Amino acid sequence: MKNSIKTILGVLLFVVIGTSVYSQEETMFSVQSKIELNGSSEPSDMKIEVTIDKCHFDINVRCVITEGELKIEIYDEKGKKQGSFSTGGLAENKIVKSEPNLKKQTVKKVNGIVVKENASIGTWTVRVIPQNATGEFALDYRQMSKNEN
Amino acid sequence: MIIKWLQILGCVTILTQNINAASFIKGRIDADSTWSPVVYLSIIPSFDQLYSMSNQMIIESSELDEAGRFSFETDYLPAENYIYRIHLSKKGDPPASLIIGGKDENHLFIIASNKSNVLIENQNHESLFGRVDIKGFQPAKMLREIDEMVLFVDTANFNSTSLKRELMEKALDEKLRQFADTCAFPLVALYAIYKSDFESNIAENPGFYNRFLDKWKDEKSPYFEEFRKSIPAENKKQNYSILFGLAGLFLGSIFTFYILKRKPQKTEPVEILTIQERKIFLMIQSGKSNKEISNELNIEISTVKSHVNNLYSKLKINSRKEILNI
Repeated sequence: MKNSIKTILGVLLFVVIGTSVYSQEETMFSVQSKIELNGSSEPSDMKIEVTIDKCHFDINVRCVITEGELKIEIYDEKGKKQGSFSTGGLAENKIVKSEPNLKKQTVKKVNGIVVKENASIGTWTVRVIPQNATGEFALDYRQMSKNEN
Repeated sequence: MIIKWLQILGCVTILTQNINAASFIKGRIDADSTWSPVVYLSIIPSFDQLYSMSNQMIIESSELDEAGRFSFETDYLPAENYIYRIHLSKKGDPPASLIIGGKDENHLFIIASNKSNVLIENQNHESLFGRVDIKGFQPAKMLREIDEMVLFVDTANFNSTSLKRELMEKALDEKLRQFADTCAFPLVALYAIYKSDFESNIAENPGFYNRFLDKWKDEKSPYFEEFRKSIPAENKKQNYSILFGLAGLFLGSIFTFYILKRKPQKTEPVEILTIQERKIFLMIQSGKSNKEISNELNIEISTVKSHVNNLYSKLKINSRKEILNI
């Protein structure tokens, strides 16, 4: 079975909660999703549409990996990288000293939040790059806009 | 005698304090109960990693005491200036947590080396590092100035058109370029450029970036190496094409000079004669007499003689035989 199909099967839990709250003060739309990685998952891009102009927009990623490595990259609607979060090394750390408590970790965790005020309409990209990764990756995002009235 | 000893003791105490105070990053952070009371220090090895997070980037941690104080010894840091990040994590979040933008932004960038002293004091504000005072190492202070400029535009409330925001952002980019142009600290200047929208500005203002790199051509830090690589190849090609153009012009000038120099040597005898004299010259060379020339050109024989005399004079000869040798 192809790895891509395995990746799709590896998505054991995918919860999408779309909430639209309309009130006199604010419009909100939020989505939450969770992906389980089974060790053979391949890199993939997730597209997020910002549909409200000049809104508050935030993306929250949480990675918990027991084996392998996982890297998440977030790109804005212009294709500019806004954040990068990795359970492994992003670059060679030439300083010998490193935080000892973090080295002992068997479960590797990394969280990242990117917040954009006055976000423009467009498509953001969340690039998921697993390397033999087993674990879980959760993604939430929200759009909020103050109503003029 | 006792006073003297007290004076010596005082001097030793001050000296010890200074020794202890040497090479540190320390300060006080007023963090509310939503934050874990631990401060993390990360190294940022390249500008591409400013907004990256991984466990490997974290090199040390320091617990906040009751007064919110923390301290890092920095003797083990590289001797060269590097960019570092200080951050806190929310309670329940892992140490490798980065919040980019918004009220809960959890990090602060500083410049330090193994010899620098950086003192960080945050003041009561709705966000963790919204109002920070940095003392000591001048490049670290200037880095904060840049961040405050950027933060001001990022958090400004623009209720009107997007044009207003665009104008504000362009003004900020221009201000950051001016800052970079006049800053005496190379890494701070480069940080200002990275904080401006330099990628989209290179095409319309390549001269500025070339001059900047020329000014700091001796800088060999990984940050400058990274920036040099980010200058588009087109600009380099453009520079090379100017060099090639100038080289071609130079070689062309030399070639033309030699051609012009050689040409008169070949054509000198004929070129100095008039058209009529040239005709007569060629007729004499073919062995024709003055009368035959007169008949052929349909001019008086005296006119032929006059032309022949002029011809002799110009060619500096005295007889028809010499014409045959030219």
